Amino acid sequence: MEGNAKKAETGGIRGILRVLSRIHHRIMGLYLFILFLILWQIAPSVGWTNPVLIPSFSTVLAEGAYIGLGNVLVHIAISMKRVFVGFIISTAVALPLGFILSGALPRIAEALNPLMHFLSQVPPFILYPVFLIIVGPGEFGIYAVILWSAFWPILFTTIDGMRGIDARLIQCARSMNAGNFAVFTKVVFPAIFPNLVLGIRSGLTMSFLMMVGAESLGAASGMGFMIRNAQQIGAVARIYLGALLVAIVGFLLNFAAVEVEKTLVTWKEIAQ
Amino acid sequence: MSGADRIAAGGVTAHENNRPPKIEIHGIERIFLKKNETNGAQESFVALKDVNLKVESGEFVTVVGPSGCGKSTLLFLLSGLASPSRGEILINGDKVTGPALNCGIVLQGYALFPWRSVRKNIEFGLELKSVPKKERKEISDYYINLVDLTGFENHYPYQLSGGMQQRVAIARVLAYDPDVLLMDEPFAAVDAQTRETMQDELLNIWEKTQKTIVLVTHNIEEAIGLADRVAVMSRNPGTIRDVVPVNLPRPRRIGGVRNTPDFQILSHHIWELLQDKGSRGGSGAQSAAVPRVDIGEHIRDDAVI
Repeated sequence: MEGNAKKAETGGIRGILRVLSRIHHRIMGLYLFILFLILWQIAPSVGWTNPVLIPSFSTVLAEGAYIGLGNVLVHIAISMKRVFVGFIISTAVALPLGFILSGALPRIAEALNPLMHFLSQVPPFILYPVFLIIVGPGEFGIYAVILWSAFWPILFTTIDGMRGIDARLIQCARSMNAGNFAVFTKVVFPAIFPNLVLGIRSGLTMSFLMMVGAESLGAASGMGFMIRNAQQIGAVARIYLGALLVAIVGFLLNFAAVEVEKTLVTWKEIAQ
Repeated sequence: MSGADRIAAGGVTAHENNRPPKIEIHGIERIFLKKNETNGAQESFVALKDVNLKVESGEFVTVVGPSGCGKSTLLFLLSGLASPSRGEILINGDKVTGPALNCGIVLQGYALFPWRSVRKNIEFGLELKSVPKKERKEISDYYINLVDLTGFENHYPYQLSGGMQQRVAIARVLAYDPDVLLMDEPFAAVDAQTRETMQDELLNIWEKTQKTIVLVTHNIEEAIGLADRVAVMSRNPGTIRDVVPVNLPRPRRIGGVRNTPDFQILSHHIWELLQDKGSRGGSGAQSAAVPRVDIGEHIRDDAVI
């Protein structure tokens, strides 16, 4: 990069062009994104689409301004609180359970395997009406959906990770007189750590997506509620606004999770 | 044959000193339960039978044999990672009941911790022993230098060549400082040139540290080149056919002894034992039932005879 900068100074226009082309390669992905927004903006106004059904980008932004940034943020904050609370509870149950099942009770884990995979296929939304009947409307149903969505990816990646540990690493530690605790903290945990982070990340993504759905089924706040409510009152632009917000927040959440993963799992990241 | 006997006669003195043996293996038998692949029934498989061996303190013994003869199992039993179905193993006169501080094993294929740097891998055993951090660093510095990995302290295993990974594995077990070093085919996965360098390095380390070493290999040249005595194993069931003393001069470098007549004679003798021609072992009748050709071929692949 330094050499390049020098060339740019000495090579005049040619150098500047080279730097520009480098920047151009960096932000290639952004071009298509911008193109998408431009299309969204002009398609309804030039009559390619029905502006009532697909309002332009600026109309959606104006809708956001009309509701007010504060109100939008409140909805986002409420949704995020639900995701994180549900997700943390889910992790707190699934992680230890994964360790215990695959580490200490492998036979029970094997016996439970078909049942667990069967249950994991139950769509989280099904749980909402069930909880509605059992405990009545409210937060419980939403949390149940979020818990359920995050639970299985975390549990399964933990169990898979435990299975994938190189037995020789444990033998090596044992041959050096390591007890169970040391084997767990110094071998098992670091060995499956990449799996854990991966499982937690997919659990988080899943619970975020399912949270939006659960909110749209029956909540009085949050991004999912915003979308359903907009649909009920026929505020089309607001539906798009809600979808846009969900996409942005989900994107940022995933981006943050990937960054955290990269920072935490350095040895595996480079190894691949 | 007579040449081998002549060399063998010279090696007897090692057994006749007054110190108690470092390792005593008495009548070891190891039976595995395994599933029959066709009908799924549990069957017992005799991996080791009637194994007896004594190893003196500071001695370098190699165990050579065809694959499936139970030589790795024997090392596992010595390390305490597994226990024999019958018989007993004594180290320093104490019965082996589990992994102990006086025994370290280098497993096949290095088994380095991929999330630990070279230094942290080498310090692993020291952490388990709760050696203070400063002391750990001094010890790991010493062994990093000994196995010639200076400058690679902070590299991760995937950044190292096979030979370097092997040296880390050896340094890790040396840093743990056991009296007895057990090595399971430590040089099987490195190329021929690196292998010879590593073998000489190991001889060098052994001469410096005076550890007792039991090294398992299927390479005859390696077995002779390194050892004071070579235990030759046969399979079905796995047992020690014969223990061949190696009376080649010390300090020794493999390249320096490989082409001597004594080495060639020993090599031929051991090759014959593995071929089941030198019928001195007790299990000759049983092992005759096994097709010999594939064992012979297998060994010839690796051995320069």
